[in-house]
Amino acid sequence: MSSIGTSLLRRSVIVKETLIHKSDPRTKFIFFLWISIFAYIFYDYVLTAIFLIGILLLAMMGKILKRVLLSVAVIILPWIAFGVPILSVLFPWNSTLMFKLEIFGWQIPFYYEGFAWGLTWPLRIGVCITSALLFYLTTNPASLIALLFKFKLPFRFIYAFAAATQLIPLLVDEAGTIYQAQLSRGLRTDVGIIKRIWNFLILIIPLTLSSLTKVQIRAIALESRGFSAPVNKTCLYDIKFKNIDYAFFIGMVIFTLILIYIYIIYGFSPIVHLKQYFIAG
Amino acid sequence: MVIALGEKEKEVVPTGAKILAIVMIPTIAALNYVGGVIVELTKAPIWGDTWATILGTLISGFWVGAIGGFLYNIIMALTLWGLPAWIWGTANVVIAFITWFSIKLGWTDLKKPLKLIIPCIIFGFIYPIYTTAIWVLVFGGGPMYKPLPAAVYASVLASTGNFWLANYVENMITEIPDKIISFIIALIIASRIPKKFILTKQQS
Repeated sequence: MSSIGTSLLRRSVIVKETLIHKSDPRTKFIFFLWISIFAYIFYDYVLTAIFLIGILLLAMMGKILKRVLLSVAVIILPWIAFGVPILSVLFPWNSTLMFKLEIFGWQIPFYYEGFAWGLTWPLRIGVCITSALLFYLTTNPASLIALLFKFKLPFRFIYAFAAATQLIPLLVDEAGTIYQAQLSRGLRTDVGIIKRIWNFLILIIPLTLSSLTKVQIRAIALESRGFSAPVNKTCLYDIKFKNIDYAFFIGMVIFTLILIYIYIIYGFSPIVHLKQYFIAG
Repeated sequence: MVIALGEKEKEVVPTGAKILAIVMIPTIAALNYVGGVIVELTKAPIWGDTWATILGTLISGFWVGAIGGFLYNIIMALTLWGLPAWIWGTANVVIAFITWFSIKLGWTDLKKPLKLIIPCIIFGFIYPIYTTAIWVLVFGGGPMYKPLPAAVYASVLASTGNFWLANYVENMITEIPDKIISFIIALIIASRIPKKFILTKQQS
């Protein structure tokens, strides 16, 4: 697990007046689930790339393209850059030779099966990540909470989710303050591995103690507002489907029917005709 | 305490420890996240986003650590990492379980460093079996996007031709430093936390 792209979550939602922003969070959430599932059903890098381009077009409509492209550049491209060459040569199920490359007098064969595997999986994850960003970056926190209420999730979970998303930018800012304070006390960053771990520790200890102190304050604040009171909780913000949402749903139904048809007629790899590998070591 | 609700009256049980646990959960999730940010700042050789799960388990018990860690992954899955990443939340539950198990068997005492070796072995060698299964089955396996693990992956695959083994070794060389350092850091911090926040002692 990595923290790559963390700055994205820190900056949170981008407020714009676009169709994507105006649509109901439920629509965007269902789209996020829908496209992620289809990305996994098909094992075809061309089709998956088409899904990805489709999401990028929606991101452009929502004026969040730069942010989404950043995550693709930081996570997906390096993954492909490592995965494709290594698996093209070493993938255990390689059989179809594409070409041979001469490096320092060595003839290195590149195979299609490994190439396709190394390209398809990052693209699949790319579809999942960009659709998640499309949902998150165009949905304001109040709508997000309302969405969780509509899904009838327990209010304790909703509180935990909302509190965590609010706490993250606060704690990141606090970490920045502690970091600056430690720098002014002579913290060196151009150091060896052991010292870097020590640096991690001296930043994390004050941050943890400070956030635990706030835990008690938050607990008192919650109790003073009757958090544990045995009453029905209500949401201040309500969400409703609009015409754009119905249009979006119709689009999804049409594409679902088309994709089901493609799957039945041409299989899980309709364009590049890959074989399915049962990973058996 | 009694709260009047119209004609009905309901008794409310004082929930000091309970409410503290509920508030602790998002804090654990946020601390996991910030751990990753601090790793980026300090360039420490770890992932840094599971130490708070261990800390949460140490100070507030299994459920707070597990739910806090799981919540962190749910948030990341719904925001930055994409839907399949929710599965890493189960890895956080496994981490919380290993920590809880270690507490129960007395393997979390900094004053007895020899006993810390056992959980370190579990985190370093057994836990990667689980993450390897997730990495291969949900993310397709293959080299990670960091040069050293990718090089290790390539060399193991070239020498053995075993896809699972290459993924396991790749996972292991990233998990050994990350989990062991995270575990030790969490133990150090837990030893410095004021007693009023330690809910595990109240439970036992």
